[in-house]
Amino acid sequence: MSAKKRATRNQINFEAYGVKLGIRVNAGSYLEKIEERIVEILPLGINVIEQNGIEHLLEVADEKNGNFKIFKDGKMVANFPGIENLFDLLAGQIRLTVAEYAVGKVFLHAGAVAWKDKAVIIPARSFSGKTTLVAELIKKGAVYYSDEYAVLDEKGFVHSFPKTLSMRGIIDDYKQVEYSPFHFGAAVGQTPLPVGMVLICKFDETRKNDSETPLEFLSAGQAMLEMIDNTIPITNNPKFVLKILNKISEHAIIAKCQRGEAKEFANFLIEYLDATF
Amino acid sequence: MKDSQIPVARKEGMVIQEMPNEVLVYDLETNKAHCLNQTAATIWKSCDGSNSVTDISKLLAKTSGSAVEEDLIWLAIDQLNEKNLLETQIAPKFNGQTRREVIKKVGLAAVIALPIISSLAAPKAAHAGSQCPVGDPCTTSADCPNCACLGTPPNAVCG
Repeated sequence: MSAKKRATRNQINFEAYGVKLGIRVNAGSYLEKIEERIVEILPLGINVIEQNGIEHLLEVADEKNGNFKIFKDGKMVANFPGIENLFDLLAGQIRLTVAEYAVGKVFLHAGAVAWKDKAVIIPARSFSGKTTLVAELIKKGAVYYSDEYAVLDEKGFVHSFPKTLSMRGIIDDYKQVEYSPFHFGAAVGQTPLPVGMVLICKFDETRKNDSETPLEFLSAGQAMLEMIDNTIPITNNPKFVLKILNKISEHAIIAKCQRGEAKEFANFLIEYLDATF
Repeated sequence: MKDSQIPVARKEGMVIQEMPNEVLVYDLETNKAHCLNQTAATIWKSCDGSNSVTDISKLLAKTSGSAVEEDLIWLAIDQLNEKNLLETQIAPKFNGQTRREVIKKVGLAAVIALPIISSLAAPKAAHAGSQCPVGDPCTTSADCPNCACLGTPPNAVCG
């Protein structure tokens, strides 16, 4: 996809992953900043399209009193104070809209890395330690695919969504700080890969990473439920989603765990993957 | 006229994904996913509108190679009712026993696994992603990924 973009006076229109999206602002000065961040938000870029081709619209309303609102297809999805929050929240809405309506792809909310040419995906909600674990894995030589979305194609292969890693716990427990995967010395995945392992894992600070395996292996059906819980377009297109998730559950190792510190757990996991893949 | 005690599996408004030992059913009306283990799936598939509970227990006995008590079928029907996976609700016949007593009794005697249906309400896109669940009640910002908990509990919301 081309990263070239073009703006109308108060609106930009583009296509990514088959989603035709417009972003409109009521104060023109924000548009340039939003445009600058588009490729950062959607790391594989966008294709500029005409305004009459859009299917979804995100509107930013500056209420001139320090408060902002974001509307998605006419429905308010965010109402917040502070311009400093605007771009992060809008970036999240852009990604979410693309993830929700992507054509021919299923966006799973998951970290994704590759080891020995197989993808390891880590589906989880926010605040479960997904990015921290991905960071530790890529430090140890895993190839970076994403810290937010495992993008699955019709064969169930994972495509790279190589956004910067959004690390928490540096300023405080909530504010995210962005790091390039190259900061960790990681290579970024270029080719779609089959899923070798789905790891449903949550950080538990009381958990010690002892030598005994902390993995609980799941049946295909239980695995499907766990993946559905983190699948963005499930309510829009359940038939397609279930078909793709079933392909993964047929072949991948699927395990659940409560893990301790990411660094130690990453060591355990790499050893496990080396022995298994 | 149909016998009201003949269970009929609901098939409309669902996406059904067969797996080797389980069935995943997605209910388009409620946006809930249900995973039926092999026993529950076999019983559900046998609810074709012609098989009585007695017939289903015989069918299951034939496929499993061991006797199957009707109580086990009723346990499955009880769950199928609860998950809205039957055309019409059928009152389970536990003959005065509680569900727990039946589970214990059948569990001890059964060679095959007890019927189990695990369910999950499909998340809204915003909840499955990292995005702020705008408008959801919160007590601290930890409840609000990517945004803050605004206002004072109990009236605070993510935004």
